[in-house]
Amino acid sequence: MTIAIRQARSDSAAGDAIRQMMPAAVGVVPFAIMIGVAIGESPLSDVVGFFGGLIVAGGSAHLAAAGSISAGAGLAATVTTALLVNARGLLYGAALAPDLRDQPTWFRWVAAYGLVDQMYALVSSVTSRGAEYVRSFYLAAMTLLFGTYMAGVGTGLLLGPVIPAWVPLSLSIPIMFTAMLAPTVEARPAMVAAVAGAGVTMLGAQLPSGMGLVAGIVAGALSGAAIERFGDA
Amino acid sequence: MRDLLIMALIGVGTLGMRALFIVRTSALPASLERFVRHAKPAILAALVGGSMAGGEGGLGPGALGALTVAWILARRGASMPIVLVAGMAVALALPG
Repeated sequence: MTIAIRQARSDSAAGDAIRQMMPAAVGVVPFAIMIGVAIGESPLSDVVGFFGGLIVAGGSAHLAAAGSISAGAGLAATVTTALLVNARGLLYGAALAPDLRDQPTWFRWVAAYGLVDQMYALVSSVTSRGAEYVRSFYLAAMTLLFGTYMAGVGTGLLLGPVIPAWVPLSLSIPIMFTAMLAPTVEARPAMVAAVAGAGVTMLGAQLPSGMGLVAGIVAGALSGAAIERFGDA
Repeated sequence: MRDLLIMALIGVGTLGMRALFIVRTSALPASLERFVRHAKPAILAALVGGSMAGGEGGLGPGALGALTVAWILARRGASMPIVLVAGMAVALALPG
């Protein structure tokens, strides 16, 4: 009887997860296709670029890795850049940690792996439903989201070669980053962070191994944080 | 092999960051939280700057026009495919 009730709860959690994650999963498809096209256009090998989606576990970092490599960055600069892109996972993890305390260790590792923007937004709204429900919900939502994302990236890799040569595909990465950047620049600290980030990166473009990129990111984030901390003083 | 190593290092580092507070239980220092919050615009802008300075389309009128249109459309809430198509159309229409 207990097993039957548990099974029903699991089914319900998985169904809820699929229903609630479906719009977000469908929403990542165009982005994933374009990342696939961008990876095909970058010096990354198609196989590593494709499976990199599962290894990196984050679309923005996946694109950042391809973008850094395309920009000529070295290993250290590319890894640092992508890790900084995924650094908001620290915040998500810190925010979600109290709600996952009752979960087994294996699941907390799995949850950490899949903690991308959409997962955080969705799962943070169901954490009061009990450990077993959250576990089933999380696993189903993550499987759907990651599966859809990978299908999109694969489609993009297949589509890339049939797109005519006159289409400026090399601009796809900076255009996508610009589109992701524009909505984040609302307040003064974000504006300062963006201007300092782009400016220092361009000034340091000749630094070896693409370290200008890392310098730009650090300078931008520190400038934004400083303006927030001391701007009103 | 180098590309695979890059992906693996990013994957391990990302997992470590996300797991830090989920698997262990401690609080994020306020200064680090502030840095991470402002990292997003800095990173995206740096990647745009790096792409342009690194030769991805250069800094010609076509590329600058494409990024300007992308910025305006994204600020108005346009979806990514629309922004991408419009940006590339502008790049094709303008010289360089």
